[in-house]
Amino acid sequence: MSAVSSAMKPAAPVTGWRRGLADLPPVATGAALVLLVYVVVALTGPFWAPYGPADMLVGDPFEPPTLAHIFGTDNIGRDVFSRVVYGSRPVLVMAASATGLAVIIGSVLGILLAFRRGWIDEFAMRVIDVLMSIPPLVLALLLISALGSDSVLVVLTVAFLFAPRVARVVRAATLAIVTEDYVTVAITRGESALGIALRELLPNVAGTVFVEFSIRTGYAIVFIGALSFLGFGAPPPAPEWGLMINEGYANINASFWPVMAPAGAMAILVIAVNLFTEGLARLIGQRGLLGMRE
Amino acid sequence: MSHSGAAPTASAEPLLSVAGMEVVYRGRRVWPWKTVGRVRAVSDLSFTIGRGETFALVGESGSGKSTVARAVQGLVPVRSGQLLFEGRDVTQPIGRRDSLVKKRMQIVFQNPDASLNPRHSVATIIGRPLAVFHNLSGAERRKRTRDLLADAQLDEGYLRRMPGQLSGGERQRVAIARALAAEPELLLCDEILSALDVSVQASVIDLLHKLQRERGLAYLFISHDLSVVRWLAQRVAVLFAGALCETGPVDRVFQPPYHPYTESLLMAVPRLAGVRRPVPPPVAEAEPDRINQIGCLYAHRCPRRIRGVCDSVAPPVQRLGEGHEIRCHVPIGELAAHQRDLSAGIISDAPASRRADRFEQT
Amino acid sequence: MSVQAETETKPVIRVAGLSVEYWTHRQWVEVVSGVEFSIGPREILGLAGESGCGKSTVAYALLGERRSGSRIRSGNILFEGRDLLHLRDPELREIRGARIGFVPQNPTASLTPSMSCGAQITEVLAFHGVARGSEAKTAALDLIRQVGLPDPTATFVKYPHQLSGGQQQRVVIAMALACRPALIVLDEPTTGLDVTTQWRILRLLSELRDRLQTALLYVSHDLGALAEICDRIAVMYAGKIVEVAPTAELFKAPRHPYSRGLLASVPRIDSPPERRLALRGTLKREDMPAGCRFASRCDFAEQACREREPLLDLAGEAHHVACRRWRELAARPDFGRESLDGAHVA
Repeated sequence: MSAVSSAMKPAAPVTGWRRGLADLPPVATGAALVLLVYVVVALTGPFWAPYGPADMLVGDPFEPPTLAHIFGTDNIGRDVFSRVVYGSRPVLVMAASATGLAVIIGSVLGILLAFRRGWIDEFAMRVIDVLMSIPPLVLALLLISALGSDSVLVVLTVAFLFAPRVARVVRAATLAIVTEDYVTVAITRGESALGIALRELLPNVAGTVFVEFSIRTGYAIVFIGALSFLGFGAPPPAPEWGLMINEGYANINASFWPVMAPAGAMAILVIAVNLFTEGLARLIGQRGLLGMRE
Repeated sequence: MSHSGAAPTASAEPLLSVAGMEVVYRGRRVWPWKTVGRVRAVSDLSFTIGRGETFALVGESGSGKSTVARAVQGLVPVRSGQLLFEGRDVTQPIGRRDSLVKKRMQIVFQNPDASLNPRHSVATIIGRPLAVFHNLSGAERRKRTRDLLADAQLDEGYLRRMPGQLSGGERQRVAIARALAAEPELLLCDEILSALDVSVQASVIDLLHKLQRERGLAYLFISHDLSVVRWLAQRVAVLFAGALCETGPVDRVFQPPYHPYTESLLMAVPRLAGVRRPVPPPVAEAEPDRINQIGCLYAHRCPRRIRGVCDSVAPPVQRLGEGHEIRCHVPIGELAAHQRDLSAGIISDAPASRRADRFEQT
Repeated sequence: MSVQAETETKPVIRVAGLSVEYWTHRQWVEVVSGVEFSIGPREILGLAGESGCGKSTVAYALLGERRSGSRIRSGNILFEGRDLLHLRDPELREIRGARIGFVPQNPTASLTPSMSCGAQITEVLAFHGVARGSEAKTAALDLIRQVGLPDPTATFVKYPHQLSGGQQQRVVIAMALACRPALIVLDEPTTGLDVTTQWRILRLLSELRDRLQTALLYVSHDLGALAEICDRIAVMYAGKIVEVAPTAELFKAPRHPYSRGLLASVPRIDSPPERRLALRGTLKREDMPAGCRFASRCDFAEQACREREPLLDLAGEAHHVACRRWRELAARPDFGRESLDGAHVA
């Protein structure tokens, strides 16, 4: 009868996570491609847009779509297509940075609160409840009226509005794992709360964080658009889509293109973000975080 | 006796010394005047563990045995009692403990699925305590990691694996290797075999024996499985509802006279000989009052209880020599006269009816 | 060479050539291969093995469960004149719960937390048309009493979370019994319960079998529990049955190297601790040779073992072994095993 044999050998490894992304459902892949197009347009648009964003009377006002003006012109003869192209950058940059900021702050906060619990968690959750019960648009308008409508301030305002929501979701996801033994082991090693949050907890809620990022981006785009529609974004003649809708709205009978083009661009962008998010969430749900589960 | 590990000499200072430990869960305050869930998880528990020794704590669910492990580790506050590790007071919570103490006492948990971070590779899991406790990094850390894997009888190929790719037994070995990384003197094993297959349990038991031989490790081995305890431990304590019933060297505890609860546990262990066992004792109607009760907590379901005494007076400690103690009102002589040796293969040659009425006596 | 119950009476259920595959790692992997057995009326057959051996899959196949990601590759399961594997869902629903009962592993997970225990039992009775209304309630109270729960009227209105693990499992057993099935399949019913509770539940199952004349299929890795109540035990390894024997004989004289190794690795309360590791290595699906699946871990494997799959051979009264070399091994002195008084295995 043999004694204990030499060291055990592991089973053959299974495919890792890189293949995971390729398993996105086709609709989500399509959506991702659309998003990629938007990003490319935002980055490169100024190099190839036919006209500048503020160039007036490059055609007659309210011209219908032609080869020269793909979306026609607006009330002061500006090329709508060029303006839409130029407008893509502020939207993406502001939405992405506002969401990014909200997600970073909200995630760290949510993870730490779930880990620490106690009265500070109770207190913070009540504060979040209060903040979330105020209609976001109202709160945003209040803040912007008080602080000004500088782009940076808009981004900070939106981030401030979204961070509590993200914190709540990430906290809930973290609560599910915070009692697991591997976290307890880290505690017995004397690791700091922040260290445990980043090293042990964050990788296990990464899936939730990514999905939150995607969801919030969609909301941010519409929200920022709404703010600029209401005049709380950059002042005219900025090519912000919300503003363009506002400006074209009064004369919608003369030509609807100045309204439809930016609205349509925003809608397609948000739809693409949502479809991508859904595909991502489903992928993460099936395959565990980042595709590691077999 | 074939147990490995150095038997502790009487003069050597014990590695771990617990005296009068009491742990209370405070419960939740649902109304200002009403709190639920308040329970005394452990009451007046005392034991010691010598260097290189395996000390087992057995009991069923609710016995408080896991709580003891957590209290020793500093994860659960100790309400009263003394806790000394290597002669130093360790009643503080883990966050306030000295780093030397943290290193020399490590814990391994029951559930292999929950004890390893699913997002960390085996190398990271074992490397982390090396970094935290010994400040190792780079090539040295990698080498130590490989050595630890080898100690746990795992091939180098495991380094890059993720826990999800490992079986239960493999994960427990990684958990053990992680605990060893700190270079502990005492390993707290909280039901570490319960979730494993039978043959895997056997190989992990062998691993524990080997590590004890090679490193002089002491174990506080928590288990509900008496058969494993017989194979692994030198001394054992039996707990019921947070109170100590009986303690002593394993061979002596598993021989009569027994505390009535030890007796019932030994009867309940299934035998592979396929011998028919007698009728189990009836289910008790009432649960013991673990906060206020002064008398014996086992009295309400003890077939040998003495009316008027057992449930109101705390049971005295009866010492049988060599560290063997039984906390019971029934005199040892009487227990010895009525109890059969339950550690043998055949339980009893008494006909079933005679044994049944022994359980009906009150 | 089929493995039948030793009685000449018609078996309650007969499984033949059962093979089940799971979709995993982007391919179909066979987890149960050519399993055959039958269970006689009032017989308790144990299915023993470790994780990954396929015993739970067999249990679920008996219930006609088609889990997503699995498929039955071949075989038939004859029960009351019908092949369960070729029935449609409505017919299976009639059988499941009524003619074949099921007690799964985790009682807390099998009981609906929002319904009282009594309501869950009467639901089973009503669903299968056995009894309704006050008749169902009477029947449920009787069942609660039969499974040994105290104060049936009080227990009837209690919710699962108000009961202990052992009590919850009794409620699940009551639900499985409700329609007087011919067969009850139990998947690790006492795992996770205290040893005293386990003792009581095993005793209960024995009594119920005697009283209600039901057959049981008891699936477990716990050899102690199997030893307690099974009449015969089938040992599975890597999807195949490697040995079947009456309980006492299996523990006294296991003929298959895996059974022998398994029994030797179980820590025994009643034998001294002197023992060496009996089973080396672990079950690795990728390592399967074309022949005997245990060959890579077997101390007695020869080249021929790795090439040819062993079939179940008759090795004694109702005792079958799937090992080419069983005769030689049985004759060897170092293949001896623990006798009842605890001498150790070589």
